Amino acid sequence: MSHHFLQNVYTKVPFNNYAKLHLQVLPTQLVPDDEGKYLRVRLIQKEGSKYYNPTYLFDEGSTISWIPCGRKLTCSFPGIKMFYGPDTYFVSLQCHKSLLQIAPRTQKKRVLAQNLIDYEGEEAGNLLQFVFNATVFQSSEDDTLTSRLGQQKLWSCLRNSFQ
Amino acid sequence: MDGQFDKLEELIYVESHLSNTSAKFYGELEL
Repeated sequence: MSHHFLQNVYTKVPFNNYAKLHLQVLPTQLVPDDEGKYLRVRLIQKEGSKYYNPTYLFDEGSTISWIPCGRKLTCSFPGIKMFYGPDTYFVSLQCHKSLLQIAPRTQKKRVLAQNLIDYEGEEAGNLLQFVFNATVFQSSEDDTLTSRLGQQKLWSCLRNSFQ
Repeated sequence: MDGQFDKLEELIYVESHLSNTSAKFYGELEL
């Protein structure tokens, strides 16, 4: 499976916004891997549910990056990296239209927006940065107006997602 | 979890650091 193929599958999978648990299979981030030989699997759990207690690593609520390879776990190249921490999910899927509205001008921005949608949880910070940047790069008044409207909608959408 | 491991039985080490898994037995997740 190529990186591109995985990306396409991921963006076209129907999502259930009400699920308590999502399992994502993505390309690795450890090494460049066009063949899709190594995978990154994310278990995404919803917090604050009455009937579901999320699994956690070491300490609930902390942000932990852990490389367990060594004496107790044998790992050959490229090894294993574990990560646990709070994140946002579905933010940019819900805000998809608003995000594209503030980046209507160039193909580059569309690609950037799509990339942010692909990795919406872990790149939520970049998404927010993108909101700022999008307005700066607009050239005409029409674009600025569109951008502002899109920005307002996106902010509103983000606020609702974080609540 | 990103990457790969060599021996499945060694993954018990990772499992032992997970909590709230609802697993009844040691090693249940690993299987």
